[in-house]
Amino acid sequence: MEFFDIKSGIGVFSKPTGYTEPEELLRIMKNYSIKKSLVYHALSREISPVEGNKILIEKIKEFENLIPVYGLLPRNSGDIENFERYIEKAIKDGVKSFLITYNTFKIPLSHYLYSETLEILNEFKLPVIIDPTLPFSNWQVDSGDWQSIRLICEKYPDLPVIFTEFRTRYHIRIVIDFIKNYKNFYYDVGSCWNYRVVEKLVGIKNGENLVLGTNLPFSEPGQSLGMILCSDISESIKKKIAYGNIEKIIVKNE
Amino acid sequence: MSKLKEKFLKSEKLEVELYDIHAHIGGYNRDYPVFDGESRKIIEEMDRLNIKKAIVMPLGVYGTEWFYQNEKLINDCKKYSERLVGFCLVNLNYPEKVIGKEITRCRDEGIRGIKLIASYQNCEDTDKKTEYVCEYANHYKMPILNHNWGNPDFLEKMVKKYQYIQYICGHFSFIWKDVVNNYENVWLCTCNYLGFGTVEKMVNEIRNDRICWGSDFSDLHFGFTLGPILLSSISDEIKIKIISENTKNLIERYCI
Repeated sequence: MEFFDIKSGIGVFSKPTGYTEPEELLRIMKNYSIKKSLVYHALSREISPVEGNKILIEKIKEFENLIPVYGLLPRNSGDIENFERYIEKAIKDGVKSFLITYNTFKIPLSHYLYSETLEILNEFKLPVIIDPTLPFSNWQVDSGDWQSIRLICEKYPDLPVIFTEFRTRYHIRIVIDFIKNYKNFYYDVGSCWNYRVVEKLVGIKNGENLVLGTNLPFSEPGQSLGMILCSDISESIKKKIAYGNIEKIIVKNE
Repeated sequence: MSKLKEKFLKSEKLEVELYDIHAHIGGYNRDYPVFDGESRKIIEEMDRLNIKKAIVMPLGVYGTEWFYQNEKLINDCKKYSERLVGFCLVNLNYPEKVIGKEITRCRDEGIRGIKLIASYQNCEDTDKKTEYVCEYANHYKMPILNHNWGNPDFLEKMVKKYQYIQYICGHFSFIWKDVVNNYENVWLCTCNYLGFGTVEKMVNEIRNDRICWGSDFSDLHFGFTLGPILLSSISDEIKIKIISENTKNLIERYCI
């Protein structure tokens, strides 16, 4: 089984991690049978997307299996002069998705919606990854702003919205409803560790809306990979969750 | 590549019989819906994954209707006596007399050990009632699985004072390392969220005959706890100790 990871980082984080460089990440990926990864930079996640995104592109430009993910601040935030031009340049540089970690910057997720930040992403149908987890948090559970995510899914029904977090426990009751009701809502199964949760989520839409994130360099990747490998679902669905679904979203945009 | 890792990556059933040191049955939880939580379906899932035996405790650990939770456990352990080894739930909010009476009732019905989880019941891990339970368990040589022993000093104090208990640390942390390494009767469950590289470090620093795989079913997904062990770079020999032999030894020697 090969995997396509939607969530891994490089760079020097505020807490020491097992690796920092893209070459090291590639070695780890090989060890875990992860063929491709969507990668963000530590600076984008913890300090400044503007600076981190720029460094990321330079750092991984020679590695085709590492696909850049840009951290995203809202339009008109004062960080970027011409937002549309910035996004267009990112796409030219090979960026395939954008990461919104709104809690890091103490910005409500709804502001991304009302500031029309997502308009241009919707135009290109570029997947948006929403992660409410704070960078310094050790154990942050059930943090999704579901009202805002609902509004985003409804306003942009063709924009792929991928939700990921450190851990979903109670909120799985909400996730189930979202998978049932929004065809553009995608869920990282690595976020929920509950008993037979993969089997249950697969039962809703045949696994079409499920993707996989490892949360490297923080988490042990075997945890999320194991949940797919161990699940009581068919091999073809395992492959879709492990690789096919995210590849399909990204290829569609090429 | 490790044969176990290779098989796991191909989603093949493992030939080795697994023994699970930490699991729950009961079918219902406050935090989330329990999918396929009926005992019969859990046994089917154990069959699918080649899990021979599991130490099981009630899933509703908060203490509500704890006699009823234990009664369900007793019934399931009787029904599936070849597969399930029961540890009864103690609600530390109740008087010692009531706690003792309930453990005795469960013991008379074939329950082998005791489960403690003070923090979920708004109690202190190191409360004197925990010591009361240890005193009781020591008298009857019952193992105790504690969600959290509070701190290593407290655990060591219990280990020194009550020597006939098998102490199980219900969730992995390096804080238990010295107590596990220094005493014969302390066992460490692998179940917890694990940071990158934890399994290799665990095996390097902690005696390998006391590290035991715990799935925490039907709370957690089997893959969440099995994946880190089977995909790690430790040897197959140690993997087999962790997922099978160590807990098998514990059950066969001390849960009879």
